[in-house]
Amino acid sequence: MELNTLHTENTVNLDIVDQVVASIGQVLLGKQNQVKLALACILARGHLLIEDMPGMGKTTLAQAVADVLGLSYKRVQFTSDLLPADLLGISIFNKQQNAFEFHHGPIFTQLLLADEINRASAKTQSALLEAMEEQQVSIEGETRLLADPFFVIATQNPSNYSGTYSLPESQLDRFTMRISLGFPSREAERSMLLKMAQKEVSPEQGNARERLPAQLSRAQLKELQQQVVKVSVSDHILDYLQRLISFTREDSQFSFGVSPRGSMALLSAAKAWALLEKRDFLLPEDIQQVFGAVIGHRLSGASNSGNSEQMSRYILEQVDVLY
Amino acid sequence: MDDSSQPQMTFYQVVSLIFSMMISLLPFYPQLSWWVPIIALLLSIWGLMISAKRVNNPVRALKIITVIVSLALLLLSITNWYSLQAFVSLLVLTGCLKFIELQSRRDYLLLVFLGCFISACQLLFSTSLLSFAYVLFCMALFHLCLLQVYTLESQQRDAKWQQYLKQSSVVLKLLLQGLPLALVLFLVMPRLGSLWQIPLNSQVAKTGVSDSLAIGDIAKLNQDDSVAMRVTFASGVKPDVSELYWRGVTLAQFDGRSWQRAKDQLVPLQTSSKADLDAHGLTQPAKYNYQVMLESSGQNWLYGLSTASTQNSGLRQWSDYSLTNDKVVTSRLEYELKAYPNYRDSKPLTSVQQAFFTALPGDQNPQARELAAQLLAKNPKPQQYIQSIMQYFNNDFVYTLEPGVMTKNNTLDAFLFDYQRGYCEHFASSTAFLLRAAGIPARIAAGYQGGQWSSDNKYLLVTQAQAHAWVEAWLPNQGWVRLDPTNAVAPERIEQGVTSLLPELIEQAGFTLRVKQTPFIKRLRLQWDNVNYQWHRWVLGYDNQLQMNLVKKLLGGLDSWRILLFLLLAVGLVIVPITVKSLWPVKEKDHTLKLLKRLEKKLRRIGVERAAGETLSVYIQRAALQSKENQALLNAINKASISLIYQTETADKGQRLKHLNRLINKLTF
Repeated sequence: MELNTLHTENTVNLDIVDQVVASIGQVLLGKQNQVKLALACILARGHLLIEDMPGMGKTTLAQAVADVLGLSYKRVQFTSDLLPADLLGISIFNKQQNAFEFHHGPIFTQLLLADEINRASAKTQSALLEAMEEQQVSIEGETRLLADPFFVIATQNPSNYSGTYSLPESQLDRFTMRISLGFPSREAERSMLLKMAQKEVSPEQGNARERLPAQLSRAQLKELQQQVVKVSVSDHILDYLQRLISFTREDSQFSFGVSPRGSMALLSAAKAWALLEKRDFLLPEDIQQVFGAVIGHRLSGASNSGNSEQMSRYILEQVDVLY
Repeated sequence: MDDSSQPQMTFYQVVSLIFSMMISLLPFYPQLSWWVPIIALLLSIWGLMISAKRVNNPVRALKIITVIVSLALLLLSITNWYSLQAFVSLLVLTGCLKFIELQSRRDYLLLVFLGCFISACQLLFSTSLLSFAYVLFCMALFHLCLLQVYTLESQQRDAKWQQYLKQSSVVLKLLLQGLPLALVLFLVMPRLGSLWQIPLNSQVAKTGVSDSLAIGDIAKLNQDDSVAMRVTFASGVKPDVSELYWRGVTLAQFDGRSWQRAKDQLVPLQTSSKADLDAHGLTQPAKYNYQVMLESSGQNWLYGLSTASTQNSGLRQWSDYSLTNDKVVTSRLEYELKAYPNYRDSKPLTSVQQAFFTALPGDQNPQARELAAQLLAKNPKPQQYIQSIMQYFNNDFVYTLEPGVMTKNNTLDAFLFDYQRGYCEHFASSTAFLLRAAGIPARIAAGYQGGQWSSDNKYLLVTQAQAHAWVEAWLPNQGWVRLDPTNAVAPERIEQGVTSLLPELIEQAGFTLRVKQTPFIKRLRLQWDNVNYQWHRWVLGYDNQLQMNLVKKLLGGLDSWRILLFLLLAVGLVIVPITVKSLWPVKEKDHTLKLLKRLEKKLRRIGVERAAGETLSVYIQRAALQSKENQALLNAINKASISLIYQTETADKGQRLKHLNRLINKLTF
């Protein structure tokens, strides 16, 4: 398609987006679509949930995104005995000063990697999710603002894995997107293996993080997010979006339709996707690209990803794009 | 009924249903015991509180107690269980008791349907046009409730009042759609006789004409403007007002004080007399042919111009030429009559009859008897004697509707010599008395006099206010002759009707009466009566006979296949336009979409069908693959259409529309 309209005034050169995608692509081979979705999610100021089996590169993707966007990040490995205080921070009595001193928890960062979020108890999960929604936490009666921007990239194992507390629908709804990575292609895996073989590194070292250089400055990220907001949306697009959403509410297959929060998330994620496509207006294609990731986890009755993928494809096939 | 699987009724739904029920119950309250509206109100408040979750659902025992209490009240207040009142009270009570049990959809629907039935029951009490309109209104309300049950809460995005407005228009549309079918069913469905009957209210109190007359009891005659009958004259003849004496009964039995209908003296009209009348009809055609539509009167006698003749088998004619119906007239009755004003039955009276018609039992009213003797001495001939009586009345007497109460004894003396004021009954009964005192057979005739022509001059409206009494005297060789002493006192009463005199007659004429007399209001009233008349005549009076004639005329026969075809036609008349409208492609108002549809149509010709979930560019690119020669053009179309539809901010829309239109026109398939 040759419809790309380049921005001229006062904007970040959108080519930089390609660089970001390419940079992350170095560590996550053959997963360009997922990388773009993750980026779109960040640009739409949303939180991202990555769901897949262990060893599929969830954490790698999360770390790469953090690195490339130049964000300060902390990583928390969620376990069943993780307490909210471990996440938010705690006040400890300082004997010298004879006063309580607040020790900031890992949540006070720009990008939080919540690894295996569904291993933590519901109590801890909800502490995190509250912070995601409000962008602030209340600790010991004091409200503390979180960093701006504040993103959560959470990873989780499919809920039928042992030792997991699956996230309830209400909490899933707070994630703008849920993506899964899936097995790499044959070629991608080959080159991954080749790389390891040539470098002759041990598996441990291979897994050890190699940090990517930051591609975006804070200001550039902010500017990109501004541009996402400015992407223009025509009435026809809104009609289409509403048709999609109301289909989920009216079709008998779904016990609950998509919430208004879901439809807003869909719109902003699609706008971010349009920006990644270097366009300043929204096309139905953008909505279709992000639809599965945004809607899949919000559809009741579609708990595992395979099912939700089928469902979102079904919706896209049923709903007329034009009228 | 606690049925958790059924959806709960929302507060708004319950409010609308209870409101509709209350509206539909309103017309019943005057007919029912005083406590019924109170119970209904209490139950509706209770029902609303339950629905608003202010009160818990009543437990079973409480419900049973409520039912028992209501039934006990009903038992105590109903005297006659086989009356309409009892039946309707029970029905109303049943409906109201359901208010406290409106939890599931099933309860709700039950009450909606019961409400429709209750609304229709209003027609048992009144069949006027207004009642019918009210029933329709109630039906519409219940349909609104029905619609609300089937409207999903999630689909209601407007404000509450907007919703009601929208739903009302839907209900109105539905009712209008049902109208043709209802009309056809009305026209062709056979009128079945009632399978069961509830005795209707038979003690219809009518102030008009009764079969006994005693003067002096009534101090003030109230004017009753209700309709007594409507008369249509054939061939548009309009009789003079002075001829309009609607004779109902003759009161010939006098007991010294009151005049009664001489029931034992009345025999059916002899066949010889009947034949005589018919023979008269052969030589001299009837002056008036007319049709009377008599309102419910609670009596069985009928009114007609004398001398009346009928071919109607249901009517019976008596020796005094009065007519009766076989049954008491409790609902509107239509009959046709002929009038021979010039016919005289001059057969001489038998001696028994002579004695009966001149009987003056007792020795009351000595002064009147003396007056009769005086007058007779001066005027020995009956004609002259009658003249002298009329003259006597003409001198000092005053016609008034408020004569005051006269003494119990010798009332005629009191009237003739002390009061000298009264209305038709006073004049008629004293005239008859004076005639009998002079040995002239006399009786009183009661009925109506005059009438108002309807606004379109099609029929004559006779109201209860026009009730009248006059005298019939038997003269040798002439037979019974009509005498109207009231005419001698107040000729205007006869010429212009009693209402024209009212302001003068009633000393404290009220404001309403004066308003009623203004020409504008009078015209309005007549017009309104005309509407009612047509309603009675064509809708309520639409019987099997009329139906048969009409159907025959409309369809050319009464075969069942014709009727079936007619029904199907009517159903089709409704269904087909609706179906066509719903299947007809919606005319696209949006120019953009119109263009896209055209494009789609063109591409379909080369076998490229658009899938629902396919975006425009994917679709067009697919088409471009199909027809390689148009690839460049299709790419241009793609670009133009996408910029038109999705790029809102650039360039002028009209320009882009034209551009795309040109491109699509260039597509040669």
